[in-house]
Amino acid sequence: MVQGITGAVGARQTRLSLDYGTNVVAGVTPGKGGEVVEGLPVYDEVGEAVENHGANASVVFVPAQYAPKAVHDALDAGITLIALITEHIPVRDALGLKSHAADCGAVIIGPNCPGLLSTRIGRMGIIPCQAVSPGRVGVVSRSGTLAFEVAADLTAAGIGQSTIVGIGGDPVPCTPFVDVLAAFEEDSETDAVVLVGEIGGAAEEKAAHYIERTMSKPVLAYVAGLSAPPGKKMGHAGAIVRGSSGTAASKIAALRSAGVTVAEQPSDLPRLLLERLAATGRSAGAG
Amino acid sequence: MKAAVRLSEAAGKAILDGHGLRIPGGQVARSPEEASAITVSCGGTSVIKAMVPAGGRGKAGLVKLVNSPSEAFAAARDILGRSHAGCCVTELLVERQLAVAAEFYLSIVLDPWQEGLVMMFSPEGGVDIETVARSAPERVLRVPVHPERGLLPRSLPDLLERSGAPHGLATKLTQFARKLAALGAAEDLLLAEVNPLVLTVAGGLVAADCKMEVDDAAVYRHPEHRAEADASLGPDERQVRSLGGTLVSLESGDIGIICNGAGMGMAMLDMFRAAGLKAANFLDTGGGLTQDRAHGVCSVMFRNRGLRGALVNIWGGFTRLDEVARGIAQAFREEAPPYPLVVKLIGLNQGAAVALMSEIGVQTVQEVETEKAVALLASIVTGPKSGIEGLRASV
Repeated sequence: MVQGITGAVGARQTRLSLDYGTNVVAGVTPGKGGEVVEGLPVYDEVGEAVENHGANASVVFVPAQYAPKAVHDALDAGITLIALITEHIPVRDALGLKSHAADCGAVIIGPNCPGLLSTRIGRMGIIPCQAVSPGRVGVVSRSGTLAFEVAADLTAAGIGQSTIVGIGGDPVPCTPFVDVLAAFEEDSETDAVVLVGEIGGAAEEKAAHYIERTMSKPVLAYVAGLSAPPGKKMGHAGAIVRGSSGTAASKIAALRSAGVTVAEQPSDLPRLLLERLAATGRSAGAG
Repeated sequence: MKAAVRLSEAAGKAILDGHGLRIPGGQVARSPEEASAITVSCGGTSVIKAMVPAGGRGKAGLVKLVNSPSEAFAAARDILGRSHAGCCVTELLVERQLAVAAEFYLSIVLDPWQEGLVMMFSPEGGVDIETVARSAPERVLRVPVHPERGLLPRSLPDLLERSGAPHGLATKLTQFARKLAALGAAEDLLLAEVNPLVLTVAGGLVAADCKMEVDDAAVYRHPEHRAEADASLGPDERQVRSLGGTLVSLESGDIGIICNGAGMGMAMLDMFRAAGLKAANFLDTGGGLTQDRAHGVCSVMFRNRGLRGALVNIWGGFTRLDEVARGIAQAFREEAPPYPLVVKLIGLNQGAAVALMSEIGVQTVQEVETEKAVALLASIVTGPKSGIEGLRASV
């Protein structure tokens, strides 16, 4: 279902997801129950979409001040997968959502993210369909537009993707890299993973830790910000490089020592992926 | 790290005071006369501190202990009007001196490793906590703060003692920490750092210094901080911010970047370096770019006469590229940049967007690899001068 379907972005993205073949069943906008958007019924409450159509996942296009309530409502109604696209959600609210989702055993992707797209299932969010093609490489990224670029680079090289997940640009995403890597490791439709990171925080270092200990599938990465001058607020509205931790260099070093192939530029990834797969005797077939 | 509004020490202390935590008595002074008068009311001695939202004040001579109102006058006259970290000192905090028995470190901070807010304590106060964390990690306590309840574990007094808090003080420290965590939640703080937290000779805990950062995304529910949020920005930065974007000026570069997405922008800096270009700035338009916002940010970029070139790189995810193109064209017609412009547009309504660019003679790139757009711009700005005809061709 789509929460915030009656907004311009919600409506347009619903159309694109439907065209991509996604099973979007209803929309929810409090106060607009009874309307129809892109041929879908709109309800006032999440519970109605669940009861009448069996909705089990939600994309949230609700403005920042109201989005937390919309997500809490979805969790209360039993929704187990939520793509929270909205940016500028206060950290305190996001931490509350993360805690509530953990209590429910549900997954929230985001906030401040482009959502996710599985080439065999559908699209939740705003990932441009022309960037993607079906295949067996998983992509997980903090940056939205870099995720699109990396997917497009792979597509242009004839390497298709299984699922693309944008975990979002906030300092504490509701679902961190590690959880998505674990999902890719379990996923029978994914043979290799590309991780797109950037300066600030500890997400890539934690991912490196996980990759070294647990992952058997090949992982490649690109980390943005090697050329970002220290001390300047950059990255998602303020990723500041502090001392030697959180720098692109330290993240790249951590990933490399975990066995990750790190590209110097996004457009190097297709070639490096093919080399890595060849080395392990696999192909990147668009199966 | 998240965009945060840095509060002045005086503003931070007012918040502590409002939540029942002790601060040294004092007031803000804006002139040497005021500093002198406040010193009298502090009992004849005081501490004079420059109110600038940046560290390193002590080393820069912007914090002075004074032992008479006339010393206060002289110190205030010396400090007011000085510049520190790009800010001019217009206000001073004049406070009572404290009779210090011990100094601790206490903060509530957003910790990416813990993926949440943590309370940090160290018995080593008044020094850089990161140095302590490196040299004596057993003397830095990190305890997660529960996201909703904002509480800390029942075992906190015990944990504090084990990391070096003086015996008998654990209860008082716990109370202070709990109040700090609660106010951190109430005020949407990403950082509430008290360093040093002073134990006075009389046995009380007083916040001698206070550094606070408010979550920028939460300022809508703390509008009293809006002015402080804008104060540190230059006019161009403020204008871009009002358009929903972020402009960062970089040192010594001559190529402008407009992109939608901070990660993409940083990747472009990497690509620029590989191509031998240097970016002068980095304008992240933010999501959902409309014609008006595109027009606004391009106008800011185009009137920068010091650039040798600019690259606009927009992905159309939920951004409609035809609207973006209309905005670029509008800015171009009003005041065309005196330098070559390369525009890369991929995504929603790309075809219409490219047609609009071609109407105004702006070179567009439709290959997905941004590296190619960067290479094209590099060849234009560093290669032999090409005429207008060369600029009109679409790649």
